Amino acid sequence: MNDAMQPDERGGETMSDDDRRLAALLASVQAEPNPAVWARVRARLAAADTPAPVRPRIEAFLDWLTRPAALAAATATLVVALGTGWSMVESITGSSGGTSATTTSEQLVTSDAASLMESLLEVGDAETDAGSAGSVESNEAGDSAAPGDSGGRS
Amino acid sequence: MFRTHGLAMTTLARGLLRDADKADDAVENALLRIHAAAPNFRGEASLKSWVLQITANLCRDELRRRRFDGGRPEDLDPLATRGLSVNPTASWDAALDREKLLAQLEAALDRLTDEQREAVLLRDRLGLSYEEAAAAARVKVDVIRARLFRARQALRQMLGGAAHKERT
Repeated sequence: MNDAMQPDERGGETMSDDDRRLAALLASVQAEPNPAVWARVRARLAAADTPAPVRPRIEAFLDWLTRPAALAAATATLVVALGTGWSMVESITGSSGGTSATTTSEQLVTSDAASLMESLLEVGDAETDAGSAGSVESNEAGDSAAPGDSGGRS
Repeated sequence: MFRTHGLAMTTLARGLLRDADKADDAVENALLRIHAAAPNFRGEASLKSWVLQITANLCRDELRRRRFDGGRPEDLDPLATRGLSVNPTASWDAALDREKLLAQLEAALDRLTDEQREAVLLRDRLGLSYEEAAAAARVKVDVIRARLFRARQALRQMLGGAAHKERT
């Protein structure tokens, strides 16, 4: 390659012929600006200059509106669920115990407690009947081993 | 602004990013940034180098975001795929293999480092002075000289006899 150095017309630098030819080759390639880019820029600048569009305002209002609406919906769902549960309890207690439709919660609690006591007593009787023989034997054995203790405690 | 410097901005962005769509996005964002920063322009550098500095900054950001793919050297038409076109020159039109040589040159540019490619584009492709190129690249003049020296050296080596063949 020819490395004859000559002053560069752009900056007063010395450039070889190869460098100069290389620079000429590089300078021969350019990119045409895309008009769509300028159109997009103008659109974005125009959008930035205009006040906030109406649609986002409506969306923001709907967002605000849906928050209490969601709260109200959740509250309504809770009330409906409680009411349904209450009516189911009333229907069950009314059909099984023969109580009137105006049964109060205290009466419900009392009747539940009574039935629970009854069921516990029934279970206790059954266990007593089943284990009566064993208990008699153990009592007899206890009496023979320590006759004074039982009498003393009672 | 776009009429005056749009060509240089687009040429720099496409040369740096090697992707026409990404380059157009960079130019678009650069124009918006220029519009926003125009009141703060103090005129310390020339308007062209300021505009190109903003464009180059955005291109550097894009290059940092993605791993740069140098493209395939076997591209049939690397100029067209990158949105670049050849400026007709009467003295070169006789050269039958000029397009091929330019394609080789583009492929060689791909293999330069980002900094070297930026220096070559600013100085040789866009014709900026060393001072303007240094301002656009936000480095000292000596740095841009060193980068340009190494870039030209690498380009000469990569092109090999092609440039000599073009010359003769």
